[in-house]
Order: sequence, then C-alpha cells, then structure tokens
Amino acid sequence: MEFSDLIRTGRAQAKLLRGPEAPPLRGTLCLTGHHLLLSPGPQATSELWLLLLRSVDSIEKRVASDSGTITLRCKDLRVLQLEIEGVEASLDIARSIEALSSLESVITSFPFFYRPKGLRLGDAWHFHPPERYYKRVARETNAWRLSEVNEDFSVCPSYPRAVIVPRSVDDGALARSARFRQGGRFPVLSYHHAPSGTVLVRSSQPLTGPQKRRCAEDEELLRAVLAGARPGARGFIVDTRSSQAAKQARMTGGGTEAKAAYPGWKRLHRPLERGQPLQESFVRLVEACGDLQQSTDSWLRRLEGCCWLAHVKEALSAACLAAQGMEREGACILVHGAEGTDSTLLVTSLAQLILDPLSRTMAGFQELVEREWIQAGHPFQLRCAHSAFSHARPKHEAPTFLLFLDCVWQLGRQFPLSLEFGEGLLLALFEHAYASPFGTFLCNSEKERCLCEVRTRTHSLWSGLNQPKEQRKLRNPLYAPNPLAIWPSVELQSLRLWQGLFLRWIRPPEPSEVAWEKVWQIVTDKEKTKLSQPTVSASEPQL
Amino acid sequence: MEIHTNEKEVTEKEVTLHLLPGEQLLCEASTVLKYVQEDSCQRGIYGKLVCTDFKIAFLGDDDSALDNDETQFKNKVIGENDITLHCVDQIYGVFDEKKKTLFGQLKKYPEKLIIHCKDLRVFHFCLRYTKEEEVKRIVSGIIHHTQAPKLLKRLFLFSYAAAAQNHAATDPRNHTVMFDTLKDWCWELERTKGSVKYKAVSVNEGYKVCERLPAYFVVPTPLPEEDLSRFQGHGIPLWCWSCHNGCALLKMSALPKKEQDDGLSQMQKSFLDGIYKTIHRPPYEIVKTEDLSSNFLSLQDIQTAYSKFKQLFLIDNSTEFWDTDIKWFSLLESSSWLDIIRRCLKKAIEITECLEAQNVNVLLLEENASDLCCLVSSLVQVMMDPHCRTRIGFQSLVQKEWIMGGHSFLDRCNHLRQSDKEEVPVFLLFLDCVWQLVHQHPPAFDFTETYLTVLSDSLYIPIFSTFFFNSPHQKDNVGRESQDTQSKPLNLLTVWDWSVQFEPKAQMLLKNPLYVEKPKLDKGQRKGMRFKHQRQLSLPLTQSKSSPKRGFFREETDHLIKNLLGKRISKLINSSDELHDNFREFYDSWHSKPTDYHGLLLPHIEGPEIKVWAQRYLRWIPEAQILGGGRAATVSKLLEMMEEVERLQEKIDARPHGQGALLAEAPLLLRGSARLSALFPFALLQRHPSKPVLPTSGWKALGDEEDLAKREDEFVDLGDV
Repeated sequence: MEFSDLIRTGRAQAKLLRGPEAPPLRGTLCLTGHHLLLSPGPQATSELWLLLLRSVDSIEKRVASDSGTITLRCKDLRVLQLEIEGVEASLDIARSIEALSSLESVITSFPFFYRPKGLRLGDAWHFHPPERYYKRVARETNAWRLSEVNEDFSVCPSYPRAVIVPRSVDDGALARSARFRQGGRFPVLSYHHAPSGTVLVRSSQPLTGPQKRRCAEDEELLRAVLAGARPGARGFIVDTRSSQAAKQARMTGGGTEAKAAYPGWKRLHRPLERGQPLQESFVRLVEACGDLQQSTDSWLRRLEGCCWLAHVKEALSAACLAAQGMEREGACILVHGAEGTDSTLLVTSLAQLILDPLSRTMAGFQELVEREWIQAGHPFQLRCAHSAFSHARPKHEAPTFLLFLDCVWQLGRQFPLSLEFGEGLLLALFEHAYASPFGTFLCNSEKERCLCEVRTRTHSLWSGLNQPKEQRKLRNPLYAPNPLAIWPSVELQSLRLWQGLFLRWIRPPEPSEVAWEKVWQIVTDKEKTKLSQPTVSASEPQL
Repeated sequence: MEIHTNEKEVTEKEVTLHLLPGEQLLCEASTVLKYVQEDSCQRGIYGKLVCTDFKIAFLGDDDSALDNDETQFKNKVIGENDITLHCVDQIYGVFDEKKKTLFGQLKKYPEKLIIHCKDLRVFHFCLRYTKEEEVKRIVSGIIHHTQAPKLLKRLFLFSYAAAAQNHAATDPRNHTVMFDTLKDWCWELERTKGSVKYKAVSVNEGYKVCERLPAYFVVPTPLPEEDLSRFQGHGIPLWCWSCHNGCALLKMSALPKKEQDDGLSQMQKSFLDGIYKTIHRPPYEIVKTEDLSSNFLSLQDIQTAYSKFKQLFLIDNSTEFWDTDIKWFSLLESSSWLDIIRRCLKKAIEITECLEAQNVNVLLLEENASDLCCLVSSLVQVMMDPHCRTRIGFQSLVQKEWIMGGHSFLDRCNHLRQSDKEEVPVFLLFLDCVWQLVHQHPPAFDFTETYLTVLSDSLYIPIFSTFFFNSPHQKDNVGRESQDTQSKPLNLLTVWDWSVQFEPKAQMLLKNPLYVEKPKLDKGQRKGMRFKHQRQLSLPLTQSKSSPKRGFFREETDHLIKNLLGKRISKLINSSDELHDNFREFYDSWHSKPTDYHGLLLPHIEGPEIKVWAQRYLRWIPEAQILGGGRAATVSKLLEMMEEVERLQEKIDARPHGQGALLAEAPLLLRGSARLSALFPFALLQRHPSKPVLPTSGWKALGDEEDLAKREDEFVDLGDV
C-alpha cells in the first residue's frame, strides 16, 4: 500500500483557525503521508504550519456552497478549524485525513521516517534499561540478581529481556511462577527502598481460579522477597481491585493469593478505576472543559460528575499507602491488579516518586517512565490509540498514563521545589504518548518493539528531549534537591484541575504560570550576577 | 475514649497570662483539656482556660518550646490559643456525646466545649476534669461575653485606647491616605486628574448635613451646595474615582421611597431631574446608572451563601472531614459562594468596560451606597488603577471606599451581637474577590495573599478602630463623648499600623517578592507610555458589530428610540444582548493581549478560574496541609534567591546597605522550608511533622496485627497499625 493511494487531493487553498489566542492563518494546504502542512505563501512572514496526522483524534466536515469546513480535534486536546476552498477538495482532504490518521501499521508510521538534524539513530536507546537500575540496587543490597530468563520473551511477552528477581530463586522457578501468573508476569523488583531495607515488587494476578490452585515456586518467590528484605519484614499485597472484583476474577481463572499459602503476607484492597470507565471520565472532563461559558456552579457540578479528580485522589492515596508501608511500617509491598500493566504501574511509579529523591530528577524521572511504564509493558499502542474526542467506540483505550502524569503534576504543584522537571516535560510526555515523531512510545511491549526494530530504526524521545534547546521548557527553575519523602495531601480540597493540560488550548497558561517568567528572570539574574563576580560565588556556601 | 496523659503533666506549670493594657481577667478554669485535632486518638493538652474582656485564652502546660520562635509567624496581639471575643462565631456544648448550640442561661453544663471562630478555627475543650464551680463560671462567662448584646461604649477598643495612651510611638498613619481631611480628597482628585470636573467640599464638616457621609467628600463642580443638604445626603452623586480618559465612577444613595406623600415625591423627582441634568451636560460624559439594589446580588444572598460555605471548613474532627471530602465539589457548589464572587467580578468588569471602552460615567445606585457600592467601586479601582495594587494604595482605597464610604462594619460583622440578620460578610467578599485577582495575576500586586488573610483576621481584633464603627461620624462622636470625661483625646489605633501586630520580619510575608515594580521613566517618556497604554486598551465600540440575536422588531424600536431621543439617551437603554456583546468583546480582547501589570487588570471569570482561598479557609485543617510544599516553599525559595541576588549586587556596586537589610531577615522565617506547611504561615501541624496523612473514605481505626489478618478479605487500610 502506498500513502498516495489514500491521498485524493493533495493541495488546496485554506484558512486555519487555531482558537481565540492565535491569529488565523491563510495559505496553501498540503497533505502528505504523515503531515498536514499549511504554507502561508511567499508574502507572509509567518512560518510553515505543520500537524502530524497521527495526532488527529476526530474529524468533522461541513460544506457550504463553494467551500468546506473541517474541524480537527487532536489527541493533545487542541481543536483546529480549516476552511477550505472548493467543496470537492475539502471532502477529499477530509477523507484522506481520516484514512491516514487511522493507519494501524507501526512500521509505516512517522517515527520510521523521521530523521531530525543533530540526532543520531540509536542515541539514548540504551539510556535506561533495567540493567542500569540493577547496578544501583546491587550497590545497596545483594539479595537481588538480574535474570535473563526472559531473554527471548518466551516466559513473559510483556516483560523486558532482563528483570530483577530475588537472588535465591533460580530461573526454572521463575518460569514456573510465570505460568501461575496472568500473562506470565511473575513478581519482579520495582524499587528497592534502601533506608528501610524494603522492596516494592509488582506482578499480575495469580491464576488461582475456582479450584484455588497453588504454585510452590510462586510462594517460594514471595518468601524470598521477605527473606531478602530487612530482618523480620512483613509483606503487604496491595490489590488494585476491590475484594469483590478480586473474588469474581476467580471464576475466570484469576484470583488472589490465598492467605495460608503466603505466610507473612497480608492483602489490602485499593480499588482503582481502569479501562473504559477511566476513559469515559477523561472524555467527560474534556467535554466540560470545552464548554466554559457556564457559571461556576455548573462547572463544579460537571467537574465532580466526571470523577477525574476522584481518580487522581485514589491513585495518589494508593501510592501513599504503598510508600507508607515501606517507609513507616518497614514492610515489603507487592502491587498487582489483574493484568498488572495499568493501575499496578501507576501505583509503583508514584510510590517511587514519593520516596525516591533520585526519581524526582530529570534523568531519574525519564528513567522511571522508561523502566516502570515502557519496559514494564504498559500497552501504549492500545491505550493511547484514541484520546478524548474520538467517535470510535473505545476498546482498549484508557488514559492510565495521563492519570499518572496528572498525579505527578499534583505532586509538583504541592512540592514546587522538589521536582527537577516542570510541567513542560509532563505535557511533552502526554503529547508524545498519543502521537509522536519519536519511537519511544510505539508498540505495547519490548517484544513488539524488538520485532519492529524500533530501537535501530527510530529516534528515542529522550534524546530529542535532552537536547539543550529543549531544556528551558522542561526544567523547574526552582528545583532544590529534597532528600525527604514528599507526602502529598490527597483530599479533593488540595487537588487541582491540571489547567495547563485540560485548558491548554482554551485559555492562556495558568495565571500563576505567568509568575513563572518572573521566576526564570530571578534565577537567570542570580546566575548572571554570579558570573560577573566569580569571587563572590566562591564564598557562597556560607548561606 | 482514651486520653494519653500522665499525672505529671497535670501538675500545672505557671504560664502567665499576657494581658494588653486595659485588659481585665473576668473568669478562669483550670485542668481544662484542649484537644489536638487528630483522627481517632483524642490527645490533648491540660491547661487553664481564661476569659478576659478582650479574649478567650487557653494557657497550656505543654512545653512552650514548641513555639519555635524562628519559624512562627507570630501575631503580637493574638496568640495561637487566643480567641478575641468578637472572633467567636458559635459555641457548642457536648452533653452525653450530643452536640448542642449554647446560648443564654444554661440549666446544665456541658462536658465539652466547642468554639467555632470567625477565622474558621475550631477549638475543643474538655471540662470533665475541671471543678464544677469553675465550669459554671467559665461557660456562662464565655457565653455571656461573646453572645449577649453589647453597648458600643463597652467595646474593648476604648479601654485599650484609654490605657495605652503612651504606647503610640510609631506613626500610625504609615502613609496610608485616611481621607479624613479635605487635603486628602484634593490629593486624590489631583492624582486621578479628576479636579477638572469635580470638587472636594467641606459642607458636611461636623456632620451638619448628614451623619452617614464623611466630613469631606467630592461632588461634580457645578452642583450647588444647598442641594447637598436637601435630602440628608441622599440623591447626591458622590465621586469615587476618575479614569485616565476623564470618565468617573460615581455613587449615590437612593432617595427613600415614600408612596403616600405625593408632594414630597414630586419634590424628590424634580430634585433628581435637576441633578441628572447637571451631570448629563458637557463637559460631563454620558452617565450610565447601575442600580445595585435591584438587579444584582442581595445582601441576603451573600449571607446565606457564606453561612453555607463556612460550614465546609468548620470541621469538628477527621471523620467528619473525610465524610464531607467525597462530596466536596457538590457542597462547594451548593453554597454558591464562588458563584457570588464570580458575579461580583463580572459586574466590576462590566463597569470597567463602560468607563474604559465606552467612555461613559457610571453612577452606582444603592439604598445607602454603603454595601455593594463599596464592593463594586473598590473592585473596579483595583482592576483599573495600579496604585490600588500597592499596599499603601490598597489601604487608602479601603479607607476611602469602605471606612469613609460608611460601610457599617459594626453591624455587618455583628460586633455588638445586636442583630444576626444584619451580619453580612460584604468586606470579606471583597477581600475574596481581590484574592482571586492576586491569585491570577501575582506580579501585579505589591501585597500577598497572607496580607489579605491577616487583614480579614483583623476584622475581629477590637484594638483597632478601623473596623469597629458604622460610620466616621459614629467614630468621631464616640471619641468626643469620651473626651468629656477625660482630658486627653482618645488615641484609637488604625489597623494599617502593621507593626502593632507583627514584627518587621513577619511583615516581610505581607510583601510580594514577585511584584513587578513600575519601571521608572523620565517625564517625557511616561507621557508617551500613557498614550500608548490608552490606545492599546481602548477598543472599538460595538456599533460596528451588529448583534445577530436581535429580531426585526427590536431593531425597529431601537431606531425609533434613537430618532426620538437622540443618540445620547439611546445608549442608556442598551438592550441586554448588546451589553453582553460589549462585555464579551472587551473581556476576550483584553485576555488575548499580553498583560500589562501597570495597566488595566481583568480577572478570568470562567468556572475553573474561581478558586477557594485555601490559605484563609483551609489553614486550620490538618488534612489539607502539605508539609514542605505548596506556595510557601516557592516563596521562601524566591526570597532566598532574591536576597542572594541583592547581596551579590550590593557587593558589585559596593553600595551602602539600604533596604537590603530588611529583606535579609525574611528567609530566617522561612528557612528549612521542608518543615513548613503549604498553608504557611498559618499551619498548626508543625507538631507532628513526620506523620504522613493517609486518606480513606470511611476510615476505620485498626486494631492490632491479628485483627488485620482476620479481616483479610475486607476493605482494609494500613493506618496506624
């Protein structure tokens, strides 16, 4: 198949409306295999305007006598309007956009063609593999080892090649434990909390089924987790389903760990919303945000009605629970729901942000996303196929990753000095997760990425983001390393709507963000003053 | 109930009661247990509960070392455990686990006393270990002194002023313009270039004309003096402020309606006609009348909304907190407080649009011109006049519009407990509206939200005269009365002397480090700037844009009106559609341009933009604290950096120490921001800095480990195992 087959009309005169903030743009509209371009013509001074077709979420067309209007709703929640001369042309273009934006094939997607200047293929792809995290763990404890039991992805298709497991458990036992867990996701190390000598472990649900089956190796594995932790450590299993849902899962072959089989472990239920209801919540919130000519009253009603902030609250409090269990109770924590690829990752990654100062740095956070989301097998392709505007019936879509980013944003808002990165990085991750010229968020697992040769044939988002010119947008000018755990306040009074994301295209940046420029100015002033008098900066640590 | 105290703690250490000059101890009770707001365990501190003629105070036996002087934002007048009598909102007693409102004579005395304060603190005192006699005395004392109607003369204000005569060493005026002299008004006229068409008059000197009006005020120049005294100050257009284009904001108290007396109403009518004629004639711009008592908020709305709203924050315990948290947004919505704020801001923008874009004068009309008039006119000035966004300017504004404007603080705050019906938090509503602006445009304001919060707290501190009179006449009169008995004039303090309440380093927190100072230009340049600013802000009038919603008939009648009445008047009967369009266009166009912090400033009024003033309303709720985070952390970091910039700059310039000295003090307060709460400087939680708060809906206190195991399949939380 060629892209040209899908392009009926490649060119037309058009006017682009980009919302109240930006002036309309006139020029020649061109459609390519991956992009929509608007060239403003020779006399105009403004730049070429470019839109990645993949980021189009839904398209609406309306025709008048001699022109057509296409409304494009993008995955990053932007709404654009194109007024195109000629009815035929506009209908053709609309159809082409529709076809091109919904292509499913990974290897014909734009990242495989994107060759930006200044970046080399293969850069930063080996930036954050589990091996790197293992080096850190090995410095802290020797109770864990790096296992390559999944070298060929046969034990667990959604795990990376290498995983960190208790040293005392051999690969054979791992493989048997994997057969007892849904999708082969046997318990692996997520985070080692050195100060308390405890660990955070994640997996999928055990396949106990109605017969209440058991698996000796799985039990041995969890025993080894406790044995490797600080002496006398207990364990808590944080199940992200309600106890009722967990029980019901037995009928379909899943279930929960039986109490008697896992001595030392206790089970807690923290039901988190997932799947379709979460997607619906996202859709309703975006709808409410798109309709702001309402009074405060109906706004609050709609905000509550969509439950998004309630989901943020639940996610953060589940993460607090896990983090508290480790830091305060000195207990090991195993987190799982059903598949262990969604809310499980949400809880483990947030718990690390709360506890681990390193994960709050720029590099540390990128590593966290890579390790706990991308390598850990969050099915990005399925979950982020459509955003909030799509008319298609959602199948596997769910904004779990967005929920994670929102929780991180809440943490950043509550602890403005403790994260090295700013809102800019979170916004970039949201955009790139849904549509990106980079290969980082492609596919659903490492296995698929290997098959598609993503690592060798596309550029990594991290190398794109870590270019010096991008840094100012992404960094937090006020960052000061904070060695303590950051305990967020999670009740609704303390949570805010992430305006920078949900209202990003509707209104100018959050008012307090206006102060940001001033902050940058102060920070830059400080640096400048320091530069101009190097002798002074030498005496600075006396502060 | 379990109480974690041992006998040793019960033996009282002497904690001295700090009394202000003129303050008298009325009654006291010992071995009172003050609960620390905590979830399941009810811990507390033993101590003495006292009631004076100024405050209710709890003197804890607890080691006062906890009051870490370095990190506390201390009020010199009111301690952490002090409640001024005027700050008490409701008192409840607990009888056999049942909570009842306490008032009047009691037959039975409660075992627990719960005090809800107007600054939203909640105190729990357990009286179970107190001697019965003392319980009776303290409870009835507190109820009597906080709830019974009072005479103005009995206000603590006067005993304090009489006793503290010699203490007033500092300049109380602090450069705030008080508007109690003719000079002050002339100065304001000059500042706003209003002196061309308006004059300051002294006809009401000694309150000869009217007791509601200040001694001096400003009216249109051609208005004859005899008119001013015709209807006791009613029906006179009083000048509030002049805009850079010469348009003015005026206010007028409506003439009392008398239906039966035809002659009088005829007289009133012709009088008003005369007045309107005067101010309609050039050089005056067209006047648009804005009747605030008919199609705007009623005081009743404000009262109802706030009494619902405040209940969201007066929380007795954690369980109650988590129960309401689930319904937070719907409860917030049903109070409609945020909607009221939004309507006030909207009204102020509408009036701003008239002045700025349509070049018309606006006349605010209200029964006494002392409630919503004050609110709306001062909001308009905060938005339009950058001077009002400096601290001195803001204080002068409050002085001009609220104090001299005759807002009845005494009645609206119900300081004398004479009528609950009159109690309406109009001034607090104004502060909340200003907070929205401060929150949305931090660099435009010289003061911080902390400033607004402490200002709102100062409403209930009866040592300042500012908020304890209904009118300047009342203040001067009472002052004169007491002068007869004493030889010296009473020295009443003004709230603007912040040094009475705060040490200089604490005052630093009232100043916004992010404030964008006005660029200093020479005169020629400034003129140019001004012109540009004017051009930038004046928008095309909406005539060019025809309103699509209007039907044929509507348009026809409009034409008719225009032809019959001339263009001038037709503008006054704008259709509401057109009004709405004007508003929308003005609002959208302003927001699509970059903000000039020294020009016109408009708030966003879309739903998500109107927020809860967390610092004021949530500050005493332990669950809402974010330790080591929030704005406090940002501000402390910024102050620290600015201090460094300044120090380095100083070294470079080798200039002598100037204002830098003060700035250097501030970070001391904020140092170690990891321990501070987001709601700093008001957090209560420093005592348990390391306890993470775990939220659960339907929290269940957990037993020991066995218990946890037994309930394995239930919904279980880790909690305080």
